[in-house]
Amino acid sequence: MPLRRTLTGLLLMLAATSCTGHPPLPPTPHTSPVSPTTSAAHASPAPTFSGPAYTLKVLGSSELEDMQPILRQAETATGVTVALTPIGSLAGAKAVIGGAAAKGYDAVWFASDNYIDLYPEGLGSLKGTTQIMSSPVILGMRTSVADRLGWNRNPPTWAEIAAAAARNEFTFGMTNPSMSNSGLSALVAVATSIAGTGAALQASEIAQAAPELGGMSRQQVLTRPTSGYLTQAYLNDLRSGHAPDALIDYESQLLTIKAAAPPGNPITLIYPSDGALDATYPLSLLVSARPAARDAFLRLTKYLTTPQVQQQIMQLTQRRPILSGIPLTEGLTGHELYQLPFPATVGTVQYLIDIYNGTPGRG
Amino acid sequence: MVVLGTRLRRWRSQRTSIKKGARLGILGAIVITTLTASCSGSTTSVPISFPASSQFRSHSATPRPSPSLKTIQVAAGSEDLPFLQDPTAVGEFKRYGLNVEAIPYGSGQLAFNEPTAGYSAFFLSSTVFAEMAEARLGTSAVSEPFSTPLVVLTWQPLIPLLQTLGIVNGSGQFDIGKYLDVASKGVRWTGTRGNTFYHNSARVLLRMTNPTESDSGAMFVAAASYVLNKGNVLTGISQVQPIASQIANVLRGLGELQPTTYLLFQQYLTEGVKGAPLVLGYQSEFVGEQRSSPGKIPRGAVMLQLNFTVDCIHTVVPFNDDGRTFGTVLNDPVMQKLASGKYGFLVPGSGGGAGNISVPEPDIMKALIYDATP
Repeated sequence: MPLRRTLTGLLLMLAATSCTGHPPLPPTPHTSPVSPTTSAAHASPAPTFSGPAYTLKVLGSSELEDMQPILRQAETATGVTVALTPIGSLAGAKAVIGGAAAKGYDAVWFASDNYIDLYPEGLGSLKGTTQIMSSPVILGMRTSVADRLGWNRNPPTWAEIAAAAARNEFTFGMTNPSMSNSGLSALVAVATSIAGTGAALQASEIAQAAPELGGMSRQQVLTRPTSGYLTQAYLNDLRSGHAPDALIDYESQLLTIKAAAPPGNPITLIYPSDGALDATYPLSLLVSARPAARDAFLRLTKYLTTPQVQQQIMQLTQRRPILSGIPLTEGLTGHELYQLPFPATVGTVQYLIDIYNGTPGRG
Repeated sequence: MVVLGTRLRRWRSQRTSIKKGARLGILGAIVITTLTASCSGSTTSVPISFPASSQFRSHSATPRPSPSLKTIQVAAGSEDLPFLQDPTAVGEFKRYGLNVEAIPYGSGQLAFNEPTAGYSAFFLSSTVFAEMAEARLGTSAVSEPFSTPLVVLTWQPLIPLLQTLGIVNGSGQFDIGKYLDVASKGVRWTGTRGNTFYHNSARVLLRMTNPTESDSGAMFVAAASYVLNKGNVLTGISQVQPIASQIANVLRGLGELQPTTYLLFQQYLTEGVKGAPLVLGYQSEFVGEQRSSPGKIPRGAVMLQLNFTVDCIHTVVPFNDDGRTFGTVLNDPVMQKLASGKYGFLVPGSGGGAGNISVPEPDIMKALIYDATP
């Protein structure tokens, strides 16, 4: 049974993405033994995941639609059908914090729980949180522009990226930081880099970043509420020859764009020299979920975190495994990054968003 | 070296005594050899000792095996999940009629917030949080099947820098006091003398869990308070604020803190030396990963003991007969062997060793961890 998609428009948009050609899935856990050369090689007997059929209603990030082949396979192995309703991570987080998610869903699966965890009522709404895969928020740039700026040879810091944008040296696209994790992660990275303390951003440090954030904001010519929509929009623009110079997005999405870019308009991935924030795609059960949902959730998460499925996820989606010991694909190798911290308070995050949007004091 | 434990029940009878114990080197029961980075020719060995069996609560009789199977839910400290989901553990639970579904939580969440509805037991990572859960829920713990000390996880290439900073002492231990001093001064990796190879401009900070949500973060705060209070346990509520504010100044640099230790350990394994240079964890996580999943501990990974040992005793707080059965099954020989042999926990009878106890009383402890968390 195919993954149930709840937004028809998204279904149509993503049909184009699937045409870009995903690599075939490697063998499934229940049909193939573990190879010590390609996985973490657990010595224990192969676990079983089967159980009663259940449709798990999940509110999740839009870019998770690319997990469809894995989730179909999971349905066969576990009996759990994932009914995914796509949404921006921050918009979804607000639905959890406000209690709306508990009324219609069993679980949530956003790019990050950074925002939810700032709220005690958000953290208290979730249980069984299991990270599934990871991808850093970085910069993808048309290769000709990266050559001009010299960034393909000497990667810039986030502060240098913001400063160059503020000097009108390139245009870019990014998700709405008040709705989506990738946009917010980029803002945090920029402000943290400008503050230059080597530690987590504090509210008192945002004012000094305001001029560059404002200048950067003026060069943003493409936005969407979610990363999935943004990726598709940029790809369409690239094919029509009207794409912005750069895109701030997850590494996984940028690798997809790079693979699908027209030959005459290639994309280079820029890994900022002072680090990035990772999305780790935590899958969490809502505390309001029924026991049958809890059982299904446990089977699904166990299945998704087996070494073999982790390897499949990496090959299909270009997201990094959450388990160590799995050799990375060529596109991911050699790009390990320093990690930048996420702020500790809601006030800091909201002030940052307001400054970027030019609406300080409104939030 | 001082041993800072978490066993309140024992501590209450001997709380004034904090011995200069000789935890390391007494037993030599096992030696862990870290994997060595390809860029380094040296190897670090970390000796591990075991607590005396008398430190653990005496156990009730093991229940009889049962032919029928009942599914129960247990909310457990996140780092216990690999053990509870091990096929051997699953088989042993089944032998006693239980199919255990373990839901990962931070122990602080269980102590302070989580309702018991739907659960047969909580399995917390320390007695201090277990005592808080017992007080909140009006029930009593049934089993303390194993323990594990806090450790710091880092990487072989960084050891010389940590030695230069004094954070790694002459015995190869993580010096909590020196770390707090370095961290409060805002020293950066790139500003460390002799660093020509690690271009991380971040401050030297130990990534840890949220002390109000997770046992490992809370126990580190307890150890830090002991050090900052010049080797004395906090005994009065008036002592809390000045000490907590010093700890909060260090934690503030970390930003948002993870709610569970297991999430942190996963980050250590996958982010490597660039993403996760210094991470707080449990000895059992590192040792268990080495033994149960060969190849998953990356090359160059190093486990450091703290200069003040903080031993975290895992404790079962049951809410019904099934929860009590769960607790007692953990004490049977098969489970004890699995816990110590494959997952690196310290179990009763696996050796002698020091084990003095010293964390603040629960009310002071609670005030400390909340005041120390920015």
